[in-house]
Amino acid sequence: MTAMERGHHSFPGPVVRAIAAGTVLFLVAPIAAIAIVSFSASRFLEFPPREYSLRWYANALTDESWRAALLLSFKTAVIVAVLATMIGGLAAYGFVRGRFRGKAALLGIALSPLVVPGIVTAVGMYFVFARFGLIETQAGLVLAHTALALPVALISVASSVSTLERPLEHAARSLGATPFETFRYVTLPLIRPGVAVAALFAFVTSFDEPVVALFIAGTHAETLPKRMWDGIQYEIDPTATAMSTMLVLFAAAVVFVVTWLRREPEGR
Amino acid sequence: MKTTFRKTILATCTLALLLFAACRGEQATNAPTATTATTAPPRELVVCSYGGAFQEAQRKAFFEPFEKETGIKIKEAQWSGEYAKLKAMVDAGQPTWDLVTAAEASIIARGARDGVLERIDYTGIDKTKFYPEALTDYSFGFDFFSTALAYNAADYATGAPPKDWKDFWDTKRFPGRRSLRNDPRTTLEFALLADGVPKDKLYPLDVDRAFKSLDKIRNGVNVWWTTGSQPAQLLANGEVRLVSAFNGRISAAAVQGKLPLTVSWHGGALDTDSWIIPKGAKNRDAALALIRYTARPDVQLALTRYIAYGPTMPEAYEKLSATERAQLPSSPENRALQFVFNGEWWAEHESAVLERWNKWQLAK
Amino acid sequence: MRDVVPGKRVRAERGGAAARDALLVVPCLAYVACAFIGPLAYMAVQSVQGSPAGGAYARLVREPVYAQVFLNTAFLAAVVTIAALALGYPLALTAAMATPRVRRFLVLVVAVPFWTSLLVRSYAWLVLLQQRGIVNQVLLDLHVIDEPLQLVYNATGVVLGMTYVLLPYMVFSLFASIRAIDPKLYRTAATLGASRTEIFWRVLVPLSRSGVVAGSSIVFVLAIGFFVTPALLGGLRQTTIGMLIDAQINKILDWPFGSALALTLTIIVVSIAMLATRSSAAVRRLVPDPEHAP
Repeated sequence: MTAMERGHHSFPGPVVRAIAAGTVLFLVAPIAAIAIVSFSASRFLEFPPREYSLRWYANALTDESWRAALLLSFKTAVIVAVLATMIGGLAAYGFVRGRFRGKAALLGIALSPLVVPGIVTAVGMYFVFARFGLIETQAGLVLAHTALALPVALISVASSVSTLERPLEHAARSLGATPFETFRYVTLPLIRPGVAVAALFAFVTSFDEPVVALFIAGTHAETLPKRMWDGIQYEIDPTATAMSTMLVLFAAAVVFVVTWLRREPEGR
Repeated sequence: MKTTFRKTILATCTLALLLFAACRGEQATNAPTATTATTAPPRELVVCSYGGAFQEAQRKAFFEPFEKETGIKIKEAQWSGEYAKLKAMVDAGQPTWDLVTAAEASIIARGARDGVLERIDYTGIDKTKFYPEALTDYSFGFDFFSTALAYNAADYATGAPPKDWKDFWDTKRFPGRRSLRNDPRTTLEFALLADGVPKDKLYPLDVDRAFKSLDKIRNGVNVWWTTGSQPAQLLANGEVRLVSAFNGRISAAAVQGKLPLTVSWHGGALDTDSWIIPKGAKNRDAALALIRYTARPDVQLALTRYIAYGPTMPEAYEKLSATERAQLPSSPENRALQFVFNGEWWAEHESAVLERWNKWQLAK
Repeated sequence: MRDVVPGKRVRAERGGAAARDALLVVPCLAYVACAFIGPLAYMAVQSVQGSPAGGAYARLVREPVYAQVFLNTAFLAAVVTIAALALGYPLALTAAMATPRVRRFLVLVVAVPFWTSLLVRSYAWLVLLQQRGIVNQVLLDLHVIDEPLQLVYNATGVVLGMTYVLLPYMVFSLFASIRAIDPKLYRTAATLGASRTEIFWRVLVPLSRSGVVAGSSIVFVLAIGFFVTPALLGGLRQTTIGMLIDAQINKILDWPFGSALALTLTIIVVSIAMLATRSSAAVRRLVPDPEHAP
């Protein structure tokens, strides 16, 4: 009946939708502002800009310290994504499928990097890494970021594994497959979305990580967020905004492609 | 299957990017790796300074010509004069900076006391050619600068502009938003000057009186700046009307933004920018080479042409025009209006004062 | 041709498999223990160094200034959580009910800022809220105000900035739990004559409670630890514990005290997190299972 259907489709009502629209504006405005400032010719953050120029983009792409930072962040994030997904993914499987005591407590420990504030993690790692000469090294950054990315990867894979139906694996085993074959041909394809998400989130966790990098990174191994922080504090020129806009466009493209590829059929 | 195909493409692209990045990475990051090459690896020098227009001026006047002349590659870092950072680095045993610009005399005094600095090897440098206060056993001063009051002259087109710290503290005659440095060094002195302490009777600082004076202006200060680039930015943006600032940054911003940003020398704090070498620095020789490079009058003049900081060699002044000299904090007429920042007093008391400063900032 | 005895073999395997699966968590736990818990333990040791031992904690307790900062930080985090909930719920609801295309767009709008650098996201608010920023300009043009408002370097700026950064966490939490609600319930309620408001308060809110608790906990816990955003956007009164820790470690070099502050913060945050996970389970027990609703 139309009244019933209408009741469903017009929920939520206009007030809620209006607030939602306002929130969308709230979310988009700062990104837009940064993008506009990045095209400003002025060195100072005037908004709206008096003149326009691409000089900050040129600077972001040609300045050696920016390029080095971008490259280092990318390399580190890739390694972290691989490590975190592997270690975290295995652990996810172990937590969901395994049976052992103290699971809740151990899971809490595995997820603790998520809960502890970044500044605390950063300070702790700074003390310890300084003793082992890991400050301002890529190895130190990889070590630190992997610890931060593990919980995220674990959760992503765990959610996939938990929806996996045990009978499928048992069926494979009872048909004669070895544990490894079962994992490779049955489990892995089915948890692939979770693994992909885990890798992506681990990558982003490392690539955008701002706080630990402030303490661990430096001239000899500078991540992009550290370079941006220095740019914002010391240069106060819009190069950071240009770099950020480029990355936003890249992230938007990735998200768009991923959501488009995973689109559901129209209708509910 | 569509999914496998997509995943394969994704995997291949990632792998390709990874390999590409790995190859490019070695050149770009210049990380100090062990080389077994028969030719000596290019020498490098990590120099730390205060960023912004000042570091840019150093780059153009010092680093780039130095690199060309000696082939030593310079990598840059930034700081804001946090002595604690320097000490932590040296205590850890591996300072990541080889040569540091110290803008506050207290850093040198404290560093000397705590054994945090290397002695400067003056062989080949004729100390008599320099102003005596610029050179110490542990530091080499290469320019004079001031922390002083600054404003946008356009805001005071009708009526008198602010002249000294008493004016800065006078929110009735000079209303508007203000910014001061989030650091007691020089800020306490300004507070005392505003309270009526004569210039020559500043040291030893009456800390209690200074904090009482600061209480009066506390609500008028909207932004507490932490890095040298901020005050100029705040003025240029119209965010505040009165600031304390490093004079050279203000003049540089005035040129870049085509704005009438002005420095008032009354009650300014004169100090030197000096090179210091953290104890245990890896590239000590290269650091000394750069110091010697900046001991040339023409090189010092080059810096003065990029930013309004005065040379530490008297003979360099002769090459400057009268108008250029008027811009510098170290020219006689400007010097007379200022006081000299006392690093020794601060070396003695900085810890305690910082403690009190932080508590003061947190108090309601 | 393998000799297959399905039931027996699988059952025997299950025991061994479970034990083997349990081993899979070892690398992860070992890594977290060394690279993460280790540093925290080292920091704990640092915090009791100095003379007298444990003096840092005594100082923390003795001087009211630090307790004040903790309270300020908690208050700030609470305000941010409420703001995130107020803005996030309508957005999550609209997204959950929308057509797939609109939903994709909304996901993009929320996800993209999420994947932008925190520094730049915070910095953007400086650009928007400064005296000559767009917000003040628009208000001045519309003659709503005569003089620019102080929107940044104070609590307003920090709340706006932090809400902006943390909103995606809230939205994703809420979205997940709203989507889990069976859509038939809305239709049923509507058929029974419920108005939109009634559906909202008596169907939606109770059933999405776990998402609300989860989202709020995440946002609150994250907000308490913030230091980049308040440092960039706030004034003196918005000094957070995170900023204080950073100052102690980097500027004042009082490592024992900084460590003591950090450890205290950690204990507070972990306690809240544990409480939150426990309470959401409790909530789930209270909320009747929709399948068995009368």
